[in-house]
Amino acid sequence: MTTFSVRKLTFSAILIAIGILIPLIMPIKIIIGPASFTLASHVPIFLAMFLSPGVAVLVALGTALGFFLSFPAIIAFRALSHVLFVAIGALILQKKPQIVGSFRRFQVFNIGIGLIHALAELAVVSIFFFQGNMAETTYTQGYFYTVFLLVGVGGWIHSIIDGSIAYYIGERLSHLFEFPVFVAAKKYVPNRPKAH
Amino acid sequence: MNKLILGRYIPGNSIIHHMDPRAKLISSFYFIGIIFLCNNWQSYLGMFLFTMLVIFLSKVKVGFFIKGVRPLIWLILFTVTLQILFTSGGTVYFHWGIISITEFGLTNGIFIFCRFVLIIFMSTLLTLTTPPLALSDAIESILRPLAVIHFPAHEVSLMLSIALRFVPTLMDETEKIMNAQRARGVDFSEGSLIQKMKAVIPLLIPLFVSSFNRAEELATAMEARGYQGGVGRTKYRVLSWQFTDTLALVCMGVLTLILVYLRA
Repeated sequence: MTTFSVRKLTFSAILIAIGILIPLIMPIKIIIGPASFTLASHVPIFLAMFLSPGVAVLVALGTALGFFLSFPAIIAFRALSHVLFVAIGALILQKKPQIVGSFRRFQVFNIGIGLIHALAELAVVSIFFFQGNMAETTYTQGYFYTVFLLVGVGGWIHSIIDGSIAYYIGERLSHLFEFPVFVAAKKYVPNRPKAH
Repeated sequence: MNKLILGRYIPGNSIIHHMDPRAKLISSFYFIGIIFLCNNWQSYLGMFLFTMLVIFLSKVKVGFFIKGVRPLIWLILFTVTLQILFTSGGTVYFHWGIISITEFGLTNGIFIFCRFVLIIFMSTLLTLTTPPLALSDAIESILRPLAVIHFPAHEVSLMLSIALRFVPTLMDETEKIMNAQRARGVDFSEGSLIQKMKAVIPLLIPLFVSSFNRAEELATAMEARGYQGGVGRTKYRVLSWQFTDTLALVCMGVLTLILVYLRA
């Protein structure tokens, strides 16, 4: 195991711990009807995407496993569905690190990846909904409002917000720690003329 | 630091402490799955009595389990309140606009509360009676068949045990940072979405910086001790499956049959 692998292992473990911790302690929650969105709950998995696809998938799997031990199954399965979007996102970032070179480019990526995120969660919640495993409130207010609008559209917006926070934090942290995507992105910054 | 029980181990000499961690892990996950079979008072009572029996056998004080529920109490109460206020059906006790407190709402609210509490009790029992290293070994052992598809079972299990170990430490750290930022005038509860997003940054950046510093230190410490991954690594404590472990799984099977019977 190389030095970098040990680092990846410990960074992944810490990101999993923060991923489990944020929904428990984050004081800022946006409440819309029967749904509550914890601000920054996806930041650790977005940061993992800046490290490598392997780390991203492991962090998504690890947080899901952590949620299985402390939250109801539906939350854990929603967390498990993150594996899909983080894997795709991390692979795209690995191939095109210049995406993180500008906030505008990252937002295009963020909106696209947020859509995959929302669709995966929508699929998981829909399975629970149609199997009759959800709270009575959900059925009273109907599929369109509680599942499609709140989980689907709400989840998409939540993902975009968390992605933006993660980008800001990742960009700041890349000056202190080695984030391969940000390191690679610096190669794409056009050389400025040297001052004489 | 004392608020969060998840990730803590309480040494003991009970039958639950001596069980194989693999049996405990499988039983815990199985329990979390079958709790969704509960749909009436009898089934929840059955699950409650079973949980209490297991807690009694573990010889761990019930207070520790109540502590485990405490960090999640607002999340639980929020879910229960929504359930009570927006569920229709049965006798209506109170009605105002779209809000109504009904017989079904109250029943469902109590059921959801029980479900949350029982899941937390069982997962807390797993971590309180299983040392992190044993839990890591159990995860590694269960995931080992995936090695055929080059799945890094050893690394994943170690990562999870480090994560669980760090949850209470990082929670303590976060509280300190939150208090420090509040003292500097950051308001986490007021303002628009943009203002809330801005308020979260002074909390998250110090948290990630200190956490990543810990990760760097840990990596250095592991390398200094010659850690080279799971390949060729032998174990000081070898897991051994015993009769009580098989019995535990049989008990879970019997519990499932009882729940199916009570559900019918």
